[in-house]
Amino acid sequence: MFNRIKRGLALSALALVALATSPAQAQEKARIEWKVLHSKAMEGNLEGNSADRGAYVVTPPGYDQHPEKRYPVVYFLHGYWATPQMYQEMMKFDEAVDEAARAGNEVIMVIPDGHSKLKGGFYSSSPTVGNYEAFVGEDLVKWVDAAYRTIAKREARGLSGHSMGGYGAMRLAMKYPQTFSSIYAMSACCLSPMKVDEAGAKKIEAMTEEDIAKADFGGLAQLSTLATWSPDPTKPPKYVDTGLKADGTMDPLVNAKLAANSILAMVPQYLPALRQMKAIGLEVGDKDFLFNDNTALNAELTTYGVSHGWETYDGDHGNRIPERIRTKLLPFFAQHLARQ
Amino acid sequence: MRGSKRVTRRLAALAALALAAFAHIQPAAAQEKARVDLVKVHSPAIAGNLEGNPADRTVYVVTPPGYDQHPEKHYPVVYFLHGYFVEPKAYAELFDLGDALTGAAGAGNDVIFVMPDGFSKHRGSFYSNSPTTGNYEDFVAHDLVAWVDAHYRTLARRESRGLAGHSMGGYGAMRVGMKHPEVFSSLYVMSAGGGSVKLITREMAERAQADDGTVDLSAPIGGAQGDLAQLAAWSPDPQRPPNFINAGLLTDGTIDPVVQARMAANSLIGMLPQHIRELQQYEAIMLDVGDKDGLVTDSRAMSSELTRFGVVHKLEIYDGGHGDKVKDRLRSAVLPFFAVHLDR
Repeated sequence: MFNRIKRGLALSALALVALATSPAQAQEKARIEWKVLHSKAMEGNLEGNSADRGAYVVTPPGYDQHPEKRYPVVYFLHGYWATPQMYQEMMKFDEAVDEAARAGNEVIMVIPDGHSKLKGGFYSSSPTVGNYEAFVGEDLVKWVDAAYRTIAKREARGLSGHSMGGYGAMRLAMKYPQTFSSIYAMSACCLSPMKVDEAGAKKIEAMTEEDIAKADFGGLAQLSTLATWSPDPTKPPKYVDTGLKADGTMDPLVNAKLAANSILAMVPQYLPALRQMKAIGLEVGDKDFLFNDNTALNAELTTYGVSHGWETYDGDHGNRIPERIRTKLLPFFAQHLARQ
Repeated sequence: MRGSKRVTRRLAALAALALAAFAHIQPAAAQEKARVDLVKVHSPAIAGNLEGNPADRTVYVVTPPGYDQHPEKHYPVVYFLHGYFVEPKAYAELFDLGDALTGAAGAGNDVIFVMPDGFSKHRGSFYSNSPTTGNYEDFVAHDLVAWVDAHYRTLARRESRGLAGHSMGGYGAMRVGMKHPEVFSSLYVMSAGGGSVKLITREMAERAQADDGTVDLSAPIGGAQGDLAQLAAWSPDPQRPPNFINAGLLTDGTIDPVVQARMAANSLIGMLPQHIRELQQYEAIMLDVGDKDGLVTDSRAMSSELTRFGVVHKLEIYDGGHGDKVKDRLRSAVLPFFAVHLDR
């Protein structure tokens, strides 16, 4: 029933988008559109996160006037707690793409919806949360290539993101080197292994739907990462294995599952993939609580001889992101993405 | 000393190659029995590793009786990954491969059987990707499969490729299977456990870091070698000769949590929840273990994890230890399993 209503809403969103795009007249400025596509990879997840996923698509000025022209694509993954809409409010992606085009860097930019019931799918694969990894790495890319005039090859696809999205960018670089050729990770989260202890597990077990609804960032993030990385399809209603056993002790395997999804632990297994990247850029603000983690990733990539750029700047976790998308991220892809 | 050993090994390899070539060139007379070819496959994925493991890998390829007489016929392929500590020769002899495959064909199951060399400096690669050991995972899934499809009359599609292994090789079958459902369609995992995580203790780390990198191939199983092999596979460090590993020992005597995380990240149970969709693509998954094998609890744990995630599979626990029944079971369980599940 609810699903049908949701599908209905999705359809009307599609209709709106269709209206917005209809007259193919001169396009003076970058245009941002909210589109909905169906992701097979997201079907059947236990939290009921929709398999009809939204994404912003920003086309550069002149897109309508040059029906023969094809463009590289920059994918941008948003952070935890947020939605693409919240990022658009802060970043004004259309203005950023507009400015880039005026500097000679015409690209399509795509910002998919990585939000979930617990406010973030960590661009991972989980039966509880859904397969956001394959949604972005497979379904979304295929859809964008079919619906827009892209240069449909890895050399012309860049992947970037901020915070949870920076994590997603690094993760997908390792899993989909055949799809993306350059990576820009801003203030990436979840690089070092997370841990849940007895107290944390107890708190999560006790959380009701109501608690979840009014939880703050810190209160929800641990449940959300467990749903993503320690799913348990046999444990409704949360479908999470917190590791808390009947006798009150902790199952150490839960922390192994969290560890298995930390970027620092994954990197050594995926060096052949990372080496296929034409360019990798990492950056973090010096007042960011994730500064040390990102510094450790920089050191690890150096240890393994994975060539990459590394920049620290005066700033915190979010205060300079809109500016750096314009001054760093888009110029980075201008330099590294193929234009034909 | 080392150089001369290498020369001898290379000579032996050349001789083996020549023999293999000779076996091929032989007039394509009636092939009454299964034939065991010992070949070399060059693997770009292994090249350049820090341990100096050869990129030209020994591979046993067994073709079924009648292979020569039916040049139009194409066959399914069973890939088999051997266990830790030994070279594939030990498994070839243990299994009596020619006899096993002749027997299978006699029962109507003619398949090609391929066993690559998963040996490394510390006596086992764990079929993982590592700059220290080489990328054995990619060797198996990419280089080897491509080579076999190019050199033998295979049915070159996932539906006709099975992957199996014993012990470290069972780990490898599950690992490579999770990552490459586009290559293989059924898995048979023998005596691999998988339901737990090996963590590094201070003693292990101290012993591994004190190792001077000389390998005594006559040393018995156990000791530092197994730890070194797993650290080389899962916690490589190109900056730290002679073993190029990071055992994680910090100055205060604790172990770096990132190194523990790497061990966890390479455990089957740690990898599993991320690869449900991949495992669900398999036509069939089988686990087995002997009831006197120390890994029986671990195998049960792995099976209940698979069940929890709705991955259809079977676990068979039989009367036996870690290795004493493996020869029988290749004949009575593994080959018949693939006879049922591989497309012809």
